[in-house]
Amino acid sequence: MLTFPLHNAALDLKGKPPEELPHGLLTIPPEVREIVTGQLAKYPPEAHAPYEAGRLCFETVGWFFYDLAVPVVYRETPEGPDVLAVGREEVAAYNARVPHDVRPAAVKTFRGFL
Amino acid sequence: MSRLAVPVSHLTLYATGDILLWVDVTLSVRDGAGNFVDFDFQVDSGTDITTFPASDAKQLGLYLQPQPVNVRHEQTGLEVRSGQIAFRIQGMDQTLYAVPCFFLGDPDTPPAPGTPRAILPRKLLQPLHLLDVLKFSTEKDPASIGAPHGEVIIEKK
Repeated sequence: MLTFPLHNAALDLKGKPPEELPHGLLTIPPEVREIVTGQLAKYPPEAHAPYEAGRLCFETVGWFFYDLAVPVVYRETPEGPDVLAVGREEVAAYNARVPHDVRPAAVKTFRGFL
Repeated sequence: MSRLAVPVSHLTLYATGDILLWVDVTLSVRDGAGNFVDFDFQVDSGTDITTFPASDAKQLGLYLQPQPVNVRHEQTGLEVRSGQIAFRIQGMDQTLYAVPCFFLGDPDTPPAPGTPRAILPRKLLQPLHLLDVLKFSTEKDPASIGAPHGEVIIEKK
């Protein structure tokens, strides 16, 4: 059973420039796995299976990037989110290269509350 | 009729364990050359007016008043230029919508990395300005695992 507050990774990343923030495949923290498992427990396993990777990836991105005020583009994978772009400049460049209407469904944006 | 169901996004706040809820919609904003550029906006009926960063507007070649108006944006303290943005809604038909908009901040200076979130210019869509042409409603099916916190439905009138 988790006890809040949790010390998530973003707390140790505050103030770093976007290029120094995590890129590439992020490992799903055990705390995130426990939270998502709890959220999905009320649904039958066969119903929540298609949504599990998406939830794990989104909450993991939140674990690393919440409150850093940077947008993030990532790709959902069963192993965790694969971070493709971090920060305004990288995300703008990614959006120009791969507009929303042609990008793969597994590519998502974490707006970073901007 | 064009209709879009947007699931409510949710994220755990690790500081408290609370669940944060919000709705984002992707708008294809028409730039100064007539092309469309995608941005995610938060649907926010609590904002006074649709807002957009002035520095992004300048990059898009949108018309910006040379000087800011004689008010500051209350929530952020940023300078304000009054204008309008035109956009299509991703996932709906090709109808072009336009709403009044406050362009926030200095057009020549994007916010520096590390700027506190409270004073960042945000992309907020005030849906009440669209009620002549669009209907916004909320629904929740408790059995829906794809939208466990419900959906915002946007329908063309």
